[in-house]
Amino acid sequence: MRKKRIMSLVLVAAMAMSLLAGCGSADTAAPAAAPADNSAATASDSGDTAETEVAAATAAPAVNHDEELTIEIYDVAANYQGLQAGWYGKVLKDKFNIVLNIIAPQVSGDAASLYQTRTASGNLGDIVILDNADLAECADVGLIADLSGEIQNYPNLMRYEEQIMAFNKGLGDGTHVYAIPTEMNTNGPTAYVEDSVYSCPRMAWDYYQELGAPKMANTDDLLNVLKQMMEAHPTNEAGDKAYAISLWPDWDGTSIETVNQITKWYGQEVNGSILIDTESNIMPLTDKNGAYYRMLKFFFQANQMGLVDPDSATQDWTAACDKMQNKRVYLFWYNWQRGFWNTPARSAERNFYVATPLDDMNVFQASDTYYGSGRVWGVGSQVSDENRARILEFLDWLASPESCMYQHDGIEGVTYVKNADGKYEVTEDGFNRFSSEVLIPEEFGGGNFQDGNNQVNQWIVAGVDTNPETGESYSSDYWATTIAVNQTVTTKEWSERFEGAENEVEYLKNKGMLNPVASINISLVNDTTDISLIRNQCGDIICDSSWKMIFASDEAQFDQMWDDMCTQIEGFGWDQLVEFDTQKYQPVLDARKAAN
Amino acid sequence: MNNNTAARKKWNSFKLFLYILPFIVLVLLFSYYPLYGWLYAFYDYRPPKPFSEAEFVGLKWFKSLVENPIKIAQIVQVMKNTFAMSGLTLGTSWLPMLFAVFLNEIRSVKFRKFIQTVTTLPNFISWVLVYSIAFSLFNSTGMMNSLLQGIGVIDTPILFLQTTEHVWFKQWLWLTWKNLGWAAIMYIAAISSIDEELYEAARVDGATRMQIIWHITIPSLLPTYFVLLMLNIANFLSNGMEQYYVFQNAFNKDWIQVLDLYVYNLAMGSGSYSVSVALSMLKSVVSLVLLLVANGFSKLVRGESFI
Repeated sequence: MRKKRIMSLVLVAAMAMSLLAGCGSADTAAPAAAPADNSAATASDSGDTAETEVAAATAAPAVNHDEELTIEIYDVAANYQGLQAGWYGKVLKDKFNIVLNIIAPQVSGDAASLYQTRTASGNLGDIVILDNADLAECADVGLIADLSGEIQNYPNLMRYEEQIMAFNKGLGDGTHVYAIPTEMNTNGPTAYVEDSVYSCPRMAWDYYQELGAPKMANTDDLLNVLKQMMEAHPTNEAGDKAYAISLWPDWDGTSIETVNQITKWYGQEVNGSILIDTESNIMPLTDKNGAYYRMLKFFFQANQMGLVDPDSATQDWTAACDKMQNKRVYLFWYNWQRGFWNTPARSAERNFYVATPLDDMNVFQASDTYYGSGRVWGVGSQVSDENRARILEFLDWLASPESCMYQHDGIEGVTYVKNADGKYEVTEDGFNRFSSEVLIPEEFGGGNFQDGNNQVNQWIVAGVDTNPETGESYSSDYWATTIAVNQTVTTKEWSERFEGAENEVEYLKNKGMLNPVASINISLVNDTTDISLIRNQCGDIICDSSWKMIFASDEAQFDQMWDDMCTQIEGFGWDQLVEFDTQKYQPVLDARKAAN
Repeated sequence: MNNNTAARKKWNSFKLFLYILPFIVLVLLFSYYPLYGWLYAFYDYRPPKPFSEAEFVGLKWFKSLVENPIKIAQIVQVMKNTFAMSGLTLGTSWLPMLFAVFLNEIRSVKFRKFIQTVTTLPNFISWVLVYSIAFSLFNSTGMMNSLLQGIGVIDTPILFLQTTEHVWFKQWLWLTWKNLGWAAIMYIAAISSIDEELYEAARVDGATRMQIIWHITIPSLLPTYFVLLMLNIANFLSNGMEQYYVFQNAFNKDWIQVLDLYVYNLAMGSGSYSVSVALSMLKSVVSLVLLLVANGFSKLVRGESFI
């Protein structure tokens, strides 16, 4: 009896203890935040000591690779979440004995809340890839390690010293190095060496030629061409229904992303609540004379003509991709969209997406991202010194020619090879690596190319940068051998049709329809709580209304919806938001004026 | 001696207290400790900045929710949706009872078990999967459109998921499809506890099947029904959000956004935790009022209250 009593007491005590233990785990969150404070303190100290450290340091610290290190990388660019596997995983494992664990907010379903919960816990990631403003915010609260005094030890990163330092000058008091910009190059701040613009109407050359490759003066002509195209080819070859235009809502922000991208055809870029044009003028997104209204109407007219995929508003990006890979979509605009279909073999058959500019276009295009592309790499402040050395070694390698070839071209011997003249050339597999399943030999890690490709999906060095070892760009698109291979019947006929221009950039420039604005990469002010709330509520209304407007039954309803939308967002503080964004982007405009 | 018994009594009551201690701790932990989070409603909290550095703003967020007619209109619409969908569910809460009664009338045990299993299963499918089923059935090239186009009823696909019509009713249908069998379980248990003698007596008196249902089964189930109804009323404002979250799109959002979903969209989209806390505090207050009203009503009608 007594035993039982004691037993029951013990049990009760155990239960109470376990509950308390439950509380305990919540408490452990507090110490996690503590190191952040410490590092903030040391960061401000190191500003003074930085110079002596630079003087003392001659080489990067020696790093021991015996133990496998899993690096958690918080990556806003990734479309894949989990461990980096496949051939690229093998490269990292063999070289540095590291495994990348990619945290992908885009995949998690709710990017904003993932970011907020992770920052609140004091550990965003060992490596972080963030938008400029977010990094500034994180550096401010001590989540990001200060690399000043260390980064000088890394020769590959130091090739981009000017750009890295220019960006970090704008962070905090300007004496620390928190961030390494993405997509930098060494070609000079105003160069534009790419052969395509980011956004331009593009369609398949064979279908366009079938209709006589007609001149298109404006979007009305474009719609008519697309209509004829759909009538001639209601399905793809497999018999699946095809549409001229297929959209997806996944990437919407303050407004519909797909509309935002085609506003660039008419010289305006959407930046939050405002439109910035090639002459650095600003107007609100909701201005009826602006390109957002105009391009929204373009989609509406397209839908009236039956050209828009009815699933556009409800399908996700993956579903849209699948359609593009099967030629069920006739109009592309992003330059990278061509990669879903184009291969040299198809180019020889004219079955190849090409730019088909409209005569009244005035393309908005920023120059090559010399200073970076708006995102940055950083190292978490909670990382131990030993691991930080390994991470920096890895980041330095990412900026090296060897790594850039892996990132932009795949594996030497599989996707590209050195030819008899000592020039690099892309192999058949290399050309097909994004459009079909390319198997990788077992010695390189096996699996197929895309699954094993670098899932970080963001580069320190841009493809247009020049490889010091070859004198050619990293991106195989501009290799002499690739250009030679791509001289097919399609490029030849395209060139004839477009007045002898070699590529779309040349044509647009000749016609005075392209005047790249200087690419600026600075950290802009972050939203306050009020502004962020306004942005979110207005954004919801604008996106919802925009989708409804595309599918509106007639023009009267379209305009009615636009007016309703404007009154509604006004009630949610739209004017304040426009005011805020106008000031927010002023530094960009000033820098652009200074650059030109 | 006296001292000894007093001490033992004290020890005994302390022991009894220890028995309930875990539950007190539980309640404190899960029902009262979270109330501490209400503090956020009065601060300008924005991650990654820690709460300790947040600025005190008083009632700013409460005021900002209702500062102009357009914002009020949105909240009213959200409340309308919440009340409509909760109301629909409450108003049809007798359906599972009826379903249980009819299920009970099926003579073949095998068939009955089959029906019961089939209707209970959807309860275990997550809403995300339900939506993917819905999408593959009802998209422009889905089964429904292919079927209708195949037999020549329509030429162009109907966009079922994008319509703005009958959103409340359609959502109620999905919910009922998912929950009916599960909700009937309680009633099936209650039916099995009805005294068999009542049925026998009725049959001897020549009652038909319908009469037995009407005069014996249903009246015996009513107490269970009322208890469940009361419990549901307390949850009136919390009609869940997963279902509405997965089914929401640009077209039906005006009609599908219920309070919980609104709070979620507000906080998670913009990091406006403070505003969301303010909003959910209001929700707690409204819930409390509803409960008190229901309690008063119960006192008035049945002469007993449940608080």
